[in-house]
Amino acid sequence: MIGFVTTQEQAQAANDAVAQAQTDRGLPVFWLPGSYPIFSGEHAGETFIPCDDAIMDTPLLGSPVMSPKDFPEFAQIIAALGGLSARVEIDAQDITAPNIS
Amino acid sequence: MMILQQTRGVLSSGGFDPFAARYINKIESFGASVSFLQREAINNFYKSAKTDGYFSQIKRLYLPIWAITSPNAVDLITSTSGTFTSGVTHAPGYVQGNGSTGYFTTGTASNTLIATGSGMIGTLNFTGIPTFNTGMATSGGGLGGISARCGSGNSGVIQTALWLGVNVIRSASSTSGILLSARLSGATISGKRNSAGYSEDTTTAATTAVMGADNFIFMARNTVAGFSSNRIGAGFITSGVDLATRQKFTLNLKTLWETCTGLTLP
Repeated sequence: MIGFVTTQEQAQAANDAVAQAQTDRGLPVFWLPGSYPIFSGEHAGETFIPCDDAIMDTPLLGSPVMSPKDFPEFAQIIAALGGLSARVEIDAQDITAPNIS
Repeated sequence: MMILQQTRGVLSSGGFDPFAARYINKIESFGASVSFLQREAINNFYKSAKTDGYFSQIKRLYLPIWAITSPNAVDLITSTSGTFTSGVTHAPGYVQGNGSTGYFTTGTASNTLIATGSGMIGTLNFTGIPTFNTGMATSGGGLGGISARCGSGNSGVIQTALWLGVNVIRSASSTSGILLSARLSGATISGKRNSAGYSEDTTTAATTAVMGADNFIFMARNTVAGFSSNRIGAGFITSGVDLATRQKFTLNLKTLWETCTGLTLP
């Protein structure tokens, strides 16, 4: 899985910014990237924000349809996370909580 | 002189349902393209639900068939919106999670939508075999007694309905169809409607927990595990309804989804 590894606070801030981009336009918050605690692997203890190409191309709104990349705030949020080159790849199992039955 | 009755399609039945009009207006404002056939199908759903007397019992109903996130997040009952996370593909006719991060939250506390002793939840599961213990509709949060869900179990592809300590596990060769988990009159019910019809099993016992306050979610067992990779065409939450209503509601939903998508429920 490709995305950003960051602190819980930064992950919340990024999601809050995405939410605000919607509410500033009078929209409900219908989409968020999400933030997922990392339970295992080299980044255990940190927080993961998914951000692969498919996510950046998610059809969000309108006709013609806009994706996250079409919002001006997108570049700012990505920059605050270190830019697209700061993304890493982690194993999906790393964000699966252990001992969940 | 014989006066021929004029028919105006859906308009001849007392006009377009206001809930239908509101929903269609909302999703079109978000970019959905709604055909005449789909408008009729949506209108017919509302009218049937009201005629059959269960419309007021539907708390939330989502129809994520529009291939765009924002229309997919709109509730047919309140016209409010839930929230999709990343990792969900929005295709014509359904949404599909990536099995790792994608899910949908109503943003509403479960215990404000569902009573401990009475309620129904479920999804229209178009296709796909759930992975172990995949949640399709759940009150989220903690496990054990404080969850209500339907999905696969730990013995392969089976249908599971858990309701606060009283579970029903059904042997099934497929989990495609409208899968529901319900509670009424001291019994937990696991039901399924597919192309073959409607069936259900029940277990009668007292619950051992109460409905929690976590937000109700679809497509995951909770927000850190059990993410679905199935193709989901609808999600719903209702108050407790009897067998006749479960049958009527699921048939009505099947008709709505099939007419709007052109797909066939397995």
